[in-house]
Amino acid sequence: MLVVASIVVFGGVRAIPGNPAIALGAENRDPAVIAAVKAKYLLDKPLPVQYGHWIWLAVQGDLGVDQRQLSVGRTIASRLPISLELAALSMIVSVIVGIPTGVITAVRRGKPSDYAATGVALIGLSVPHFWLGLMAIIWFAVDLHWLPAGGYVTAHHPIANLKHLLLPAVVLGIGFAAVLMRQMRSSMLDSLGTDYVRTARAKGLSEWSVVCKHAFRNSLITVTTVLGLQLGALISGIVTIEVIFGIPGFGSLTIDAINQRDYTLIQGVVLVVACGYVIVNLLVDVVYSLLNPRIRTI
Amino acid sequence: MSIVVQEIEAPRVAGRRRLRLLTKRFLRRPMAVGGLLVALAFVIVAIFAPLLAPYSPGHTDFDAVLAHSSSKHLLGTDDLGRDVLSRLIWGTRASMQVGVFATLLAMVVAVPIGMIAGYYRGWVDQVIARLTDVLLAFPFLILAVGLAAILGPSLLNATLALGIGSIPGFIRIARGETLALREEDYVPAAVLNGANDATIIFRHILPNMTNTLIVQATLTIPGAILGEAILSFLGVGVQPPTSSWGTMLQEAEPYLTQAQRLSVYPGVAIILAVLAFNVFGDGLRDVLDPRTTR
Repeated sequence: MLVVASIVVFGGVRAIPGNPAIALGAENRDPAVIAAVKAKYLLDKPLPVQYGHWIWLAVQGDLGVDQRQLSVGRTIASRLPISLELAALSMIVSVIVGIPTGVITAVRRGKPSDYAATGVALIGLSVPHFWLGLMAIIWFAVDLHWLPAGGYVTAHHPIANLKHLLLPAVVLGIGFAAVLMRQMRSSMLDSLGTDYVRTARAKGLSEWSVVCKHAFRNSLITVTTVLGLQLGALISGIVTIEVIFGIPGFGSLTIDAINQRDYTLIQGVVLVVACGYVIVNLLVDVVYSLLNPRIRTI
Repeated sequence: MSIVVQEIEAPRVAGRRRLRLLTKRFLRRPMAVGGLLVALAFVIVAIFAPLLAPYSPGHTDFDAVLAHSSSKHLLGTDDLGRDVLSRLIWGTRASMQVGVFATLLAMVVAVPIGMIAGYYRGWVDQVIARLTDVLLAFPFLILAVGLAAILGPSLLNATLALGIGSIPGFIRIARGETLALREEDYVPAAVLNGANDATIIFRHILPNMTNTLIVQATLTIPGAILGEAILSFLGVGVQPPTSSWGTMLQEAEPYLTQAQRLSVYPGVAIILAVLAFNVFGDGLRDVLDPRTTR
């Protein structure tokens, strides 16, 4: 699957209009310079040869150099941790907000608090991340001066680092909290209606133990799958949020690469995304079998 | 005797009765009805934009730059003195266009492909299903941004990019439905009657999956509307001076400190439209497709 994905990436990038040789030759239209550049980057060779050369080096961890002659691999390696930190923080926010509200609304089904939370979640699903980001900048940075409006500070200054990432992480996390809450609520409702929950109640277990030990654990299975499926949305969210908040992470790198028609950079970035997707799906499967012993294979 | 008459008339009467029943069930969901009304309102505004907008979207009033709301400009003006209300109304047209046409494009392309995969199974299905998996591995937005970059930024290309980006999801649904429906009794019955594959696919299977497709379409439109806003905001979608909700937000960003309302109005429009379609789609699914309720 990764092979097909890499071919799609490669072909797609070649379809972007604009001549990379001219771009690499610093807009120098001297045919000799262009020919030299083409020869250096194998641009004069047929596409399958170019692809083979690229994938051979990529497997060895060398993604080539971009238009500024910087190593693509190193650029991605320096930008990726920033985005991973943002992703991790926003996931923490969404889990802290989404899972408890999902459980509570399921337990208190049909009560006013249920309607209020479900309504808010529905709105949360419809609000575009980037607009919420703009509003957050207006409220918390421009009007209240509580948090910086954007930028990034390295983790060497932990407090400043957190301060800069808090707003983007909350903005991104809220959207996923809504998804998570809805999923948690419906699977909790399913679990609460099952026979083993009735048995647990009949045994005289406390409501707390019934909800937390029996129903909750089984609801987590579906929620894990949903979390895995949300990866695509998470990456999209990270791209827009990084652009809005001026965070020099993987997302803004992607947009810059596309805007500058930087072939090698786009190829590298998208390949990393595709790999990440496969790895996360694998992880989801592993967690899935940990949570549900029935599907554990020998 | 009476039984025979009933049997002959059954399909038509049942069809009408079913429609009445579904309408009744739908009307019992105030949220869904509200969603439908708001969504319809947006569509009407989009169609009649030239009649409803007080000014043309490019009309500049240099006596009132970044003006607050007044009787002359109900929602104020932007940095070039253009009437915000008029631009919102014209923006509705652009955003609805992208949302509806991208969804239609995805359906027209994806449904036959998905149905062929599901009906013939075997290697055809294997190839189509694996390719769909690969396309689904790219986040929708990255795919759309990449496609928009390949095609060049414009309203039409944003529609194409978002439409193509929605294809894999539709293929998967059409394939899954066809896989299930081809096992129904009426398929062998049609074969016995001498129907060919095309007849079975389009006359027998397709009508039975319209419910699912309609629901999926209502839920794809808001995704495309959001996608248009993001693409235009990132500069690879609709280009200024054309007005869309995304370009309005993009143009408003530099004025976050001076004129916050410029970024509030388009955002509220996006939320309302997306929410309306989502709620309507959810309600429709509950009514039409009770198997897949949340």
